[in-house]
Amino acid sequence: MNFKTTLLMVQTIFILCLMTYIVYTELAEPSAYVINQKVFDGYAGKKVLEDKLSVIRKKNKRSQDSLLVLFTRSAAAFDGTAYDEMRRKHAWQEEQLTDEFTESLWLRINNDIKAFGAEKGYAFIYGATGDGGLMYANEAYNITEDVIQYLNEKYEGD
Amino acid sequence: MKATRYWMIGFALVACTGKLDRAAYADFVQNYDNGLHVTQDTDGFRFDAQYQPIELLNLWQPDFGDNDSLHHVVLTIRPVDAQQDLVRYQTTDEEVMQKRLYYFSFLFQDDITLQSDGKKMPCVLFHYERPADARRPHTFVMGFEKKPEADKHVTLQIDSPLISSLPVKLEISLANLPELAL
Repeated sequence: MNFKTTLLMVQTIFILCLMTYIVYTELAEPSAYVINQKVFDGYAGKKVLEDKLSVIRKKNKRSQDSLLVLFTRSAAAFDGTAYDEMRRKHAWQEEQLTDEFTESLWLRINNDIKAFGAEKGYAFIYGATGDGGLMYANEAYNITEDVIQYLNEKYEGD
Repeated sequence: MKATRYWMIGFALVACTGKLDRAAYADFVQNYDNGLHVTQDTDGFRFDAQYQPIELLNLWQPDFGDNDSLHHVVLTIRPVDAQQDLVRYQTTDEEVMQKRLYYFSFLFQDDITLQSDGKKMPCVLFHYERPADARRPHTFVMGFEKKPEADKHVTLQIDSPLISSLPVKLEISLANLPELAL
């Protein structure tokens, strides 16, 4: 086998490998990542639940203040136990609601990201949490903003 | 022969005006692709909302009348897992079931609104139908106040603590509403 034939064979193998790589990368479903906290903060539903929680907090605070005023104005001695009990009850209720709302938000976000992935043809969408789960990713694969836009459109019923 | 000619002329007139005959109109309104019938799976429940123009109601009930002051919507809800009943969803407690039944019969009306251009229209007509077969969806026949100006899009918003902490929104498009050939 002379030098020319060898060179031709190497060139052919190289071109075939290159073509296989191009075809494989074109056909393969892409992967991408989102920054979880940014998606959570940018989701329109979060503001709605924050407002709901704020209304409940204000209502609870008004009840506590009313009880305090009642004790101050009445001749009876201030009953700290009843006041503390009410504050504890309200704090527990607010904590429960915060947990429930957070769970609902993540449930809705996760389901809608699944729909986003299926619709856009992604093989994987990774969630970057900042705790080292995703140590490095090229910014070109960051689809956080696209996901936030999709989630908010879906939230509005589009 | 004469009848065929009249039928053809009639057909051509209908085709030219872009109006739909009764069967085509009913099909159009009920088709999910035309924006008047929408379905959505959210938080474990399947919602199906059918907007009913006054023309459709008159087709189905000729004595319905021509009072066009309300948006008529029929909503059905069932758990995505079709084997479960809405009021028995994830519970076996009889008291909880009775409370849910009461809620869906009366209080649910206050948690549903129809929105258009940022304005919320209350549900002023409400009728709940519980299915005999628990695997069938529960049906809510509703009427909402109508603004004087015509709406192109309306959003049915369900903000019910028994369904989800987050509101569920279903967008209904009235932009393609065809005319009915009489």
